[in-house]
Amino acid sequence: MSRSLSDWLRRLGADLDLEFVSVSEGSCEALRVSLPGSQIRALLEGLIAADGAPSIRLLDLTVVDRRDEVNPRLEVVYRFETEEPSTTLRVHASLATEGGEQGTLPEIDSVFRLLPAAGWLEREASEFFGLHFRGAVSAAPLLLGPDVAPPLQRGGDAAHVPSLGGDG
Amino acid sequence: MSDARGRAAGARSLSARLGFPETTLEVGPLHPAVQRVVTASGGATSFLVDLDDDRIQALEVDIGLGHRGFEFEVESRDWVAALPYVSRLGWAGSVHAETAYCLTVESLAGVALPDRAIWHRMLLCELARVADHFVRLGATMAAIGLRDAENVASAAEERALGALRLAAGAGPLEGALCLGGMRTPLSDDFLAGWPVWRKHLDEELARFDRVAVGNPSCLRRLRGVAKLDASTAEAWGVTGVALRAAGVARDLRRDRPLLAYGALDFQVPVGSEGDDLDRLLVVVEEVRQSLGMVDQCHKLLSSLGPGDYRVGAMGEVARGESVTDFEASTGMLSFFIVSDGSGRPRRIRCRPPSFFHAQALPAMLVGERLSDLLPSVALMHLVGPEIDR
Repeated sequence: MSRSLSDWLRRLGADLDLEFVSVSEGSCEALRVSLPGSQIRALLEGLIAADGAPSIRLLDLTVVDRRDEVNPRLEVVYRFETEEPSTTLRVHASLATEGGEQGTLPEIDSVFRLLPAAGWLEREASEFFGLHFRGAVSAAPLLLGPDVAPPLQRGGDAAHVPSLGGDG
Repeated sequence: MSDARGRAAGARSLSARLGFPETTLEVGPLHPAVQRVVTASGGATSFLVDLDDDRIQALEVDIGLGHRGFEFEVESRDWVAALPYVSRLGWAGSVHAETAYCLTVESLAGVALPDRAIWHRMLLCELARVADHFVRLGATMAAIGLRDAENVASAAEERALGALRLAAGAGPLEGALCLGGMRTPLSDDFLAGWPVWRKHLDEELARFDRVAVGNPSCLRRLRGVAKLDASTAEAWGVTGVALRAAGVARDLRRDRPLLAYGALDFQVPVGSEGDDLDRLLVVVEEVRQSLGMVDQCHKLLSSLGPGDYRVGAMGEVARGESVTDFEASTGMLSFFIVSDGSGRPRRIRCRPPSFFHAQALPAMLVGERLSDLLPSVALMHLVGPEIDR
C-alpha cells in the first residue's frame, strides 16, 4: 500500500467530506474513497495539481445507477493507478438524484481539463446514464444516436428493465 | 530549412496556392483500406480528416456504428449467460476478455481455480496474444503495401489460431472458458503436437523478420511516424504495446500478476521513440516472448497429467464489488462488477483499451501525412467490438 497516497488522502480528508477504506482488487491493494459528487474536483485538484502530490493516472470512469434503491443516487466511479504500479485508487462520487428541479439532469464537474483521458469517458457516461458533466468540452453522443434515452438508467421511466432468461 | 516531413518552413502548401487550403475527407468503414486495417478485427470505425495538401490538420475519430448494447444485455442476464457477450468484445484476443470477466466473477464467488485451469488459461491467453499480434502485423503490412509481409503475417495468424482452436477445444468466440475453470480439458493432441506448431510459428516469425523488420522500405515507412511520448500516452490512458513502445515498461502480467503469471519467465520489451516503428518492434518481440510462455505452460501442463480442470460447483456470487485489470493483447482490459447477490450483475463495466487508443489518435497524427493514418491505426490495433461494445 502506498503510504504517501493514503497520507495524502488523510490530509485532504480534513477539508473534504471523504471516507476511505482499503480493499483488494485482484492481485493488488486498492484504496476505495467515497465522497459527495460536489467535492470531486477539489479532491482531484488536491491529488493531481498540488505540489508534492503522488502521481496518479486515470484508468477508467463509469457510473453505478442506484436510483432504484432506498437512498436514490448516482455513483460516478473513477479508477486511478498510482505511481506504485501495484496500488489503485477507486473514487465513488455520489450524486443525489432527488430534490432537483423537474427536468434537470444530475450534475457533476467535468475532470477533462485535469485528465484528458476522461473526455470520451464522460461523454459515454452522460449518454448512458443521463447526467451532465459541468464544463465538459463536448456533450455530443459518442456511441448512441442523438435522441436515444439513456439505456442504463434505472428507476422511474428508465429504459433499463432487465429480465432474466431473455432470448439473447 | 525544412521540417521533418520535407516541407520548407513558412512555405504555403500547394492546396493553399490553388485556393483550397483545407480539404475534409472521410476515411470511412467501407473504404477498402480501412476494411483491411480496422474491420479485420470486426470494427466500423471511421475517420474524418482535415487536410492541407496531404498533411493532417485535424482528425476526428467516429465510433459507435457497431454498438450492440453490451452492458445493457449483460446486466439483463445471469452470470453464465453473459459469457458469449463478453467473448464478442474481441476476435483473436477474445479469450483475454473471457479470462478477465471470469476472474472478476470468480473472485466474488470465492472460487479457487484448479492448477490445470490456471495454466490452461495462461496458455490460451498467450496463444491468443500471438494470433492477435499477427492480425495487427498483417493489417500494418497491408496499410503500407508490403504484400509479401502481409501474407506471411496472415499465414502465421492462421497457424496461431489453429493452435488456439486445438488448445481451447473451440475457436475464438466459441467460449473456451467457463466460470470456475475450463469448458474442456487441454487436448492430448495439443500436448503432443505443440512442438510442431511451435516450429512452424518460429519459421513464420523468422520469415516476417526478413520480409518486414529487415526490409528498408518498411523501416523508412514507419520510422518517426505518429510519435507518442510517455507522458502524452499516459495522459490519454494509452496502455499495452503503445505505452511500452513509448518507453514505459508497464505490463500487468509482471507488475500485478494474475493466474500464475508471476511464475513465468519473460521479458517486457520497450521502445524509446514511441513511433510506429517502435510499436512494430515491440509487437514482434512480444510474439517471441509469448511463444516462450506457451512453452512454459505446455511443459507444466504436460507434467500435471489429467485431472480437475474446473471446480465442482460454482458458489453463489456474493454481494459486493470486484475489479480485474488484465493485460490483453490490445492493452489494459478491465472489468468492474457490482453484484447485489441476485444472480446477475447489478452493474458491469468493461474498460476497453482500444477505446482509449482511438481517443488518443489525434494527439499522435495531427501534422502527419494522410498515408500515415492507416499504418498508425493498424499498429494501435483498434478492435471495433471493444470500442463500440
